Amino acid sequence: MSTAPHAAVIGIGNSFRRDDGVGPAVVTALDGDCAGVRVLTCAAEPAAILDACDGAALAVLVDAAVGTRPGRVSVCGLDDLAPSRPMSSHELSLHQTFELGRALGRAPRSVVVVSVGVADTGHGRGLSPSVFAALPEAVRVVRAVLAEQIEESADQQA
Amino acid sequence: MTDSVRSLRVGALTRVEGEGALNVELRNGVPEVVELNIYEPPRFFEAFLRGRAYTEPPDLTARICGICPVAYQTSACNAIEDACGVSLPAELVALRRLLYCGEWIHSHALHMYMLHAPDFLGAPDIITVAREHRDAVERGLALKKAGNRLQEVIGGRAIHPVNVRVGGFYSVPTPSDLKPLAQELRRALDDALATVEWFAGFDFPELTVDHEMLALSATRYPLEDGRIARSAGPEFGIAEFSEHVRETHVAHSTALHATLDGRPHLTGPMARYTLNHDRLSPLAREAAVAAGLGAECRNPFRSILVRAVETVYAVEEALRIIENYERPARASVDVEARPGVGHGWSEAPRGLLYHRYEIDAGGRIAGALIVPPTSQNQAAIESDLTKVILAGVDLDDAALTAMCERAIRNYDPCISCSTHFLTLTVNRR
Repeated sequence: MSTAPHAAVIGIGNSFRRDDGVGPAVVTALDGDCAGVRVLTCAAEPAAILDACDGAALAVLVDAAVGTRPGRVSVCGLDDLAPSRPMSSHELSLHQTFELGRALGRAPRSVVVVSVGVADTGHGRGLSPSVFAALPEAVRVVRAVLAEQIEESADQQA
Repeated sequence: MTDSVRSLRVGALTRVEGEGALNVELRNGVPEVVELNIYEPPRFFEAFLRGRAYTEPPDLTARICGICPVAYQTSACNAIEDACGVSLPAELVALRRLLYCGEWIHSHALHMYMLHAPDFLGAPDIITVAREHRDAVERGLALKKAGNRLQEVIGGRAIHPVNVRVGGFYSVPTPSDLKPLAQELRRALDDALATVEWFAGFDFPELTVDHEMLALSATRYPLEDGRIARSAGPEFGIAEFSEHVRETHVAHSTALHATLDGRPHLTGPMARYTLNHDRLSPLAREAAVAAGLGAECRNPFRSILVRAVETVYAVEEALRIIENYERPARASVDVEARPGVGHGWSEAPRGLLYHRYEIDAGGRIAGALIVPPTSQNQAAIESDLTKVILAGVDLDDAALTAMCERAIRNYDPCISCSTHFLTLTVNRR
């Protein structure tokens, strides 16, 4: 795969909570196959997410989604997400995290969220069948987002 | 004469951990009711610990709080080891202290920068502060990260460490594992000192509290263990804790209220500093003096300074432990269950955290008692609020409400711990 400059793909989630581990699972499937792209997993901790995006023009966040069909892969911008409260009053929501990043002058120019609908976020390892089956599609979608970024960068340079 | 009744109401207090409310009623300018209403549901940890194996409390109680899990793990380990008659060798105690330093650095940096500093800068949140004080917020994030890194390396992960067990650890790091940490901590020490200097320039509202202070005391500044010390009474042993610190139900809160010999008391950074400032490192003491802290701190608004000084100490202490580190021959010592009662405590970032467990003949937990710092501080917080309201009674409702919220945040209350968030209602009659 060709290099996508200054991009970070961040799998968010907890692999010990079943399908919540789909973000890290997608990232694992991508790792070593995306030259020039920073690929990592991350807990939903604000400073860690900002550090993971450091220097990247594009951040692709891969995360689990509830309230949709299990295994359904969706793509949207950060602003398309409904405003959310942080999990803890000691934390920041995803919107607040990137707002803080902008205030600090180190937020990526664009943030794309790739989500996968989940069925089971109970305790334990392993994805449920419908979510496991969606991994190839999620990987394909992330690659398409990265390829689109390369095209946009090339157009801007031209 | 017609009574003057004033009512203020705030839906939810922000920048505190957990769910709660404040209800204040004023008649003719005098506070009649000042209640910290903690409505977060009770979490029944002490009940579901019963019947579990004696090895389980450290991991189970760590789940009470995502900010101070190491405190829960440490107090639980101390109590179980006490019940089983086991003492840890010095090198494992040092590693436990190193992990605890990580939690203090992480928790203090989070509270100072993300939750408390906005109060002194007239800002609603850390994002607004970052727009004006970018370098300072970066410093706070770097400090928090240094604490997280310590917890990752020693504890296995930054949030809810998994490497702690009764008797020590599951695995212990090599000196080369700790070397990169030392480099990060040397930078963190500069950040911690700059933090004290920045906060020393803040304007602090006047408030003096006379609560008795309760903290651990040891040959070094207290963290993972120590003996009890108090500001107005004789020391007492750990087994006597429940005779002096008693918890009672109050109608307006799902958290228990604790008192010390029947009176409100204070635990946490101000108590630790007041009772132990002479055990700070020379550099931390120097920073405290330069910031204007004396031999004691009795103004809760200045607690942010104490936390900053404690952060300097924790970073230095972590560096000291790393420099002297030799890998323990064994990651843990054997702890055989034996029936009996054990007591354990440690200094969580927010104050003294006490655990007591009764172990039965089968090695199962037969009884558990956990007294967290926020439960102990609730009565003192309500008392402080009365003073703040009396001093600010001429303020308009919005300003008085904001001052009340600040008075609460001075204590970095962890309501999730004490029930294991906050709506404010003020009625002026």
